[in-house]
Amino acid sequence: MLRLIVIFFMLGLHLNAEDCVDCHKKEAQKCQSSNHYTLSNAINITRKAWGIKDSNVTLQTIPHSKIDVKKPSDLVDDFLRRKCLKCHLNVKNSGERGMKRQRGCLACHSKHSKKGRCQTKKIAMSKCLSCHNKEFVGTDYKGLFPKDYSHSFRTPLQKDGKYPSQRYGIDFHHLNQDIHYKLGMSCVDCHNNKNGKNWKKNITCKDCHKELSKSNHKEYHSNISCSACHSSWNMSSYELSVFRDDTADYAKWKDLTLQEDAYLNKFLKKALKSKKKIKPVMPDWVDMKQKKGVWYSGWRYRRWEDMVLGVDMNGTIKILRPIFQYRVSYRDANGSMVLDDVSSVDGKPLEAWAPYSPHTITKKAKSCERCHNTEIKKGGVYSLKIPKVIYNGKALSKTQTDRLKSYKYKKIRAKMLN
Amino acid sequence: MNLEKPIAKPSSPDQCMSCHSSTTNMDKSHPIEVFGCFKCHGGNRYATNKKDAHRGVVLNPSRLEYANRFCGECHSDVVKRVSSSMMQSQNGILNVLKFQWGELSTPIGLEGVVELKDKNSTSLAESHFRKACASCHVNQHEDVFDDKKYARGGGCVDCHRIEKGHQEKNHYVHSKLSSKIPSKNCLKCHNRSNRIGISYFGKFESEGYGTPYKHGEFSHKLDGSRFYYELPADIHHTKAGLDCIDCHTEKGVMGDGKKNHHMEDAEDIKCNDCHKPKFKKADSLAVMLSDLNGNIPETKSIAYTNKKNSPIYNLQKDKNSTKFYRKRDGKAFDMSNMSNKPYHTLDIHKRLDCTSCHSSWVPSCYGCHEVYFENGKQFDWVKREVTKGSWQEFRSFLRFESPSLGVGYNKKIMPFAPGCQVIGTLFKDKKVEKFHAMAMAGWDPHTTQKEVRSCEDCHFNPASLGLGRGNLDIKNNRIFFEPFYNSKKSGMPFSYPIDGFVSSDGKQFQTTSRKDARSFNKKELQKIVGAYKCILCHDRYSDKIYKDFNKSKILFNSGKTVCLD
Amino acid sequence: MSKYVAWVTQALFIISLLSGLIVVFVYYPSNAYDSVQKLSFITPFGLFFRELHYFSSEIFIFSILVHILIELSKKEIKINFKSWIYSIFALLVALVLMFTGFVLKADQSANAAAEVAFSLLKDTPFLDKFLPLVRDNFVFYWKFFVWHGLFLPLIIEYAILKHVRKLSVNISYFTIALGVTLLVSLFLNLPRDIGLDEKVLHVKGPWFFWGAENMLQAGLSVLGINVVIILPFLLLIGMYKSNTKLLKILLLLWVIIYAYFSV
Repeated sequence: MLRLIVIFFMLGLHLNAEDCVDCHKKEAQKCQSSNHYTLSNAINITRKAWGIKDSNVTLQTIPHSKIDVKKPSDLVDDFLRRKCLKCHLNVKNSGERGMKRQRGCLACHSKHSKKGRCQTKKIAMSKCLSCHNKEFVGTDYKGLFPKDYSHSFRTPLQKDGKYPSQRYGIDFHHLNQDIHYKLGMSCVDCHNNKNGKNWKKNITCKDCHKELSKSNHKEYHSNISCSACHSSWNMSSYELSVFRDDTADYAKWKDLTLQEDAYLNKFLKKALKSKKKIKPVMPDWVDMKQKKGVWYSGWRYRRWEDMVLGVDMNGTIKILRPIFQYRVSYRDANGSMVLDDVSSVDGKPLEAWAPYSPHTITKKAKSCERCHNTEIKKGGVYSLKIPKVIYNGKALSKTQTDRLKSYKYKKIRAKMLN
Repeated sequence: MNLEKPIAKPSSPDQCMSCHSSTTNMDKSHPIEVFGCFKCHGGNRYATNKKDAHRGVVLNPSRLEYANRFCGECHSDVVKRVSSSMMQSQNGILNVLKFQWGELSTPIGLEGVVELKDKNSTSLAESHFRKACASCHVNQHEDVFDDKKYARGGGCVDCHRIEKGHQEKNHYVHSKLSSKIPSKNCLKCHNRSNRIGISYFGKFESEGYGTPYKHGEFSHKLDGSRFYYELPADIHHTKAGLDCIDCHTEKGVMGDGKKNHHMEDAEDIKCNDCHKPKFKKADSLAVMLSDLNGNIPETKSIAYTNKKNSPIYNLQKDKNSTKFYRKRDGKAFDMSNMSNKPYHTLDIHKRLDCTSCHSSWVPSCYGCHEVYFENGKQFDWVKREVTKGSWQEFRSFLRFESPSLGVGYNKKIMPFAPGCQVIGTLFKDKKVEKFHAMAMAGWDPHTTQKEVRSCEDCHFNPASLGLGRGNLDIKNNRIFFEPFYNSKKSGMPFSYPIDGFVSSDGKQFQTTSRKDARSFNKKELQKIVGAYKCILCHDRYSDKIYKDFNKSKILFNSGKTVCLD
Repeated sequence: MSKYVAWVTQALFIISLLSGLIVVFVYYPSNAYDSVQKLSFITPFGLFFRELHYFSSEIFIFSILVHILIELSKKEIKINFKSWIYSIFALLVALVLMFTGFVLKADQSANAAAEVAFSLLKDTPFLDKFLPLVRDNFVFYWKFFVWHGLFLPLIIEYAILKHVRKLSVNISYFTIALGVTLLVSLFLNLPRDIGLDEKVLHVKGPWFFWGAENMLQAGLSVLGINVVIILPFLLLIGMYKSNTKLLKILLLLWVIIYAYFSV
């Protein structure tokens, strides 16, 4: 066995995608059209949000940003290349602990142990989480919620007085974990290609939970996704301000070096310490070249208890999440503000909400009130909690919202409580 | 026996004026032509050379150690009161802190800044007080602040100065004092801890992102590295632009001469004082104050506070109307009494403080991680020198939504928020010690709105009930609650959720800042949540069952009215 | 020599008296400190007359001491015993005048000196009965003013007249005395008045009191101080009858010890 591992280990050192393709032609072909390879979902939804109509590009075809920037859409590709796309199959190491991986097939199909590294068919959860670790599903399965950026949130300190160590470049709060995680299941236990299903798109709860427990109110809740009721908490990250600065202005970021980006953390620490003037540069993770300008980012606020319902493309009621409410700034090397806190293009906000399935499943469903009693106050930053633009879905209809407060509901609920 | 007739106050300025002739007046009441310089600043008023004249001159005579001699010559009563007030002694803060950290058995005590001055403390709470809290008191030295914009202290001028003295081209502008204290003076101090000052103006201290970025810089700055975002401001601000002093009487602010234990003992004003006022004849103080203000007419009938019977001279009644005058400029607002609708008179809600319904949000800063480095060095605000031992503050997360409720210091139900949830780590020579002192505190958050929280927001929201954020349900009249936050896994030294004040079966997790304050108990929780099943349908006060609730209850209990026909 | 000193001393006394007569008109006991400051800084020639009064009095005391020294160095005392007693009494009154004058300038040190004197008096048997003669509960400086401005000058004048047989104003001695006073005031400054609001760590009384102050601080009892103060006068009285060397040495010793404590 040991010998086998060593051989695999040796192989692993030299293996790259091309080597795999020799044998696994079919799989490789399939992979090339997969979202993991093209990242087209993430790319196109962001490009759309920033004002590019009918965007249809992939990681392989994403253009470079224009040099002459006039509106956010001229910058979106630069933003994607340098902030978002550090997670793709060809990035080996973007610097964060827990995000180191092999290139190509081995990004997922490899396993590290004390004895070495080997290829595996079964994909370890750590491999999935090396990308799926921010404001979306992934780490929420383990009950992790990213802490706020400022150093004042980095607690508790370690025994040597240092900040706690971070995984994926992020400090996390620990919230309720998904019941499947508690029971020892990993991502691929559900997300697999068994039964001829596409491992992402078509997997549903019902594939396993064939005999759902009989519920008294099935007739009213037929159109709702399981996760809407059975998720514990969900991710609501409101208003992301992003700022590309081509000037060397670092002092103000001294409490905010940690922006879920290990490169930026390292760069800012170096720049703040150095007496010499350090040029603002940041890698383009697609062509792996250092390019001028640094992208900074910051939220308005993030919550795990807020919940807004919407309807997805199939008409199923799901939880919505803001992805994201962008406000874009760009300062060029001469110091002039080309884009100064732009939050809309042609009157359309750079924001999007989309239905999603939180991976924080609990056995016991939420109480009725979590949905039926939602009431959002008005004024100030409360307004960010109301979806204005919904991608891949729509808001609840008037009849649906009315139904939430209907007499019929109240009667049934009161009966349950009596 | 007096040999000479008492001399009149100098009608001509002191000799000081031979040099300082261009100095402007500090206010209407103390013209230099009458008072000269000496009266307030000491020195030698007859000398004409700088050396002799400036001997013994006091630059800021309103510092409390001088105030008795200068300001106190006329305002002796006020100086005495301020010297023993809580804003000077900070005994409230110190003793509550010591109580919460287990160094005292009650949160009550009179020891404050003055007593600490010559004390060599070994107590941890005192060390923290010295290095953090003690920066704000009325007699702090202004010169210890690096950023003069946020300099606090200086005695009377801490509040009363509206413009700092400065040299202009060809004349010196004397510091301008006023009894119309602008709110920004109050905000120099009242912007942290329970943050009422900034909450009133609709500002919530944010997580520190400084977003959105404006012109390439952070926006929404408070001071230093603190930021805010906007939330609905207090209605007294949005509707009438009232300043702090429009409600807070001089006795409530400057003290009543007694040594008080807590802020609420010193505080004078209550919502009822204006919204359900009792009018009486204006007393001499009221006449004097309205005369001093200049914008507020003198009337015969004015309101008085119930607690200390001090005049609210800007709330006046004449034949036809009741008017509230804004002290800043005398703008008048019509006042009507609090309505007598069921929501204000119903017996079931008689234990509610106004704030429990009318406060729309509370700044809640969960998890105050205090780190102490024994070998570090930090400025001691009491001794005004750098001493051994340094503190650093961290936090877990912030919230403003759905304030928790509990039973407050006045035994009424009011909003609660962390105050303070200390999770301490002490880095000593070779070992690391840990302690935690988790506490919630109730206060009027000054985020009053006319619209109140919905019935469900109190009766079925776990955060409001003090259980924390999570999933609440009832089955067979038993409360089930599953919190979202996992404290143990997040590195806390306790297992209850950090935003949990009380467990679903009424066990209080955290202490409070007052002797009488507490979370809801089991009975109360069940009663509140138990009412929810009725509230589901009867969710408006206009509902007929609330017209005569007791009667409705009797009818229901005797089976004469049925639910859910 | 002896004669010249005596005459100049007399002239100094007259200068002090006359200048006192001038400054008395602007002195208000109920507003003492202010009136002194007003005199010094505002009244035309006020400071000149204050200085004249101060320096002439100080030099007056010094010249008395020189006068005594000279007389004691002689073999015998020429005046009769009654006159001798008057002389010593005059010295005592002169010192009290100096002290009350010091108090009347009404600054912080004067205040302190008066308070010290009060407590000394209070703790001294017999003398404590006389406290109401100097202490006034309404106008602090009023009784000092009456003593210094009226009774003590009358008393000392009487004593001096008994001592010198004749009081004459010789213009040449007068000129010398005035000249010396002006010369001294040219080189020395009036000790500065310590304002009532000033924060000072330590205030001192008049110079001839320093020894007593320091002895008190060193732990001598009030009674002891009284003995120390009275001793030289007793010695002087004793000298008339038996002009022995022993008494002279004792006096010298006293002066040395007192001077030591003063410094």
